[in-house]
Amino acid sequence: LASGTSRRSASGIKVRRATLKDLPELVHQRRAMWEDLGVKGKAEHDRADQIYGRWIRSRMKNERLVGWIAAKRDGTVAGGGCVWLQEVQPRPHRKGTLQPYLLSMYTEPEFRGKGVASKIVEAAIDWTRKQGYERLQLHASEMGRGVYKRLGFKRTWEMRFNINRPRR
Amino acid sequence: MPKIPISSPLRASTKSGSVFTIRQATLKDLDALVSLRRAEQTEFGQTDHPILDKADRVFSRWARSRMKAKRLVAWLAEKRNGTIVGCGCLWLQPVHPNPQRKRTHRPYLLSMYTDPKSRGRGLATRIVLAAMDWCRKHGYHTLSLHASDLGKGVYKSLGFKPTSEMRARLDDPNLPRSHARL
Repeated sequence: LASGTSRRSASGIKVRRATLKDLPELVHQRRAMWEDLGVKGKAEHDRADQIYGRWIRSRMKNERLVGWIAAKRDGTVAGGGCVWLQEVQPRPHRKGTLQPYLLSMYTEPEFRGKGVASKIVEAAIDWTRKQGYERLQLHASEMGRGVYKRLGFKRTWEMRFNINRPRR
Repeated sequence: MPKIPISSPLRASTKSGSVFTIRQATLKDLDALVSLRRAEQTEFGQTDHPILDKADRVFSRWARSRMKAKRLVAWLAEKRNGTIVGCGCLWLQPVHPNPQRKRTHRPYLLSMYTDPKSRGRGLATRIVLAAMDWCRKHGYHTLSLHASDLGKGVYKSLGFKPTSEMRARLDDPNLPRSHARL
């Protein structure tokens, strides 16, 4: 693994494709990501783990989703991320209606600041490009925005309206 | 309860007898939706007829199957004489599961278009309000879209906010090349 371009050293950490055996790790990373984003409640997380586990398994099996695991040589996992082929509206000039979407990016706290996330995103970009797609999309957390910006991601004009939830 | 301001164009229209009616589209309106979408793409700079013809067929098939499966609803702005001058579609787009959202699809607004001659009358606003109303009635808490330069103002004034979405163009020569050998 050439690491000459990494800003800080993530040397000794390799990024590899995840398999179905990594499912518990990917579910853990997803949960930890939401916890970092401030989502609370054990029961909610437990239920979300089940739903996400099923969701990701079926998509890995039918090759609509690929995951990556960043790990040390001794197997210690430093982080991970996934690309899902999301359905979008058809547009002239575009082949098909699938759009690669990066999700579940997570780095274990003790491995942060070493360029682990960048390596995962680079692996994702590499894969996406090889599959012949022209774009990669994501929703950035505050923590992730800088990493994505450095790697060439730009804000889009997606807008959202939050509808008032009815009072209980 | 849905809260639409009393002065909103949606309400106003039903009382003032506006020359334009906003109504939900049926499968019979598919051709009108396709031709308004074509006008939209043309305005965005796509003028190659074979490409537009193909895009029409693809969108027509795509929208028809989703309308039938109740995954897509559309609204039309219609003149009294029956001329259709504007449209908008709401599609339930697949999204990844989120602990704070029960469903794995979200309401997404697309194909918003008003014929240039009928602009400036709030028709797009009325269509978006109809879509918001639909979301409330069906228990959805968000409505998402990608705004064009022309649409940004309308959506902002209705309370839409930019999201944290980011996109990389992989054919951009300035994009840093991956140096990880994987």
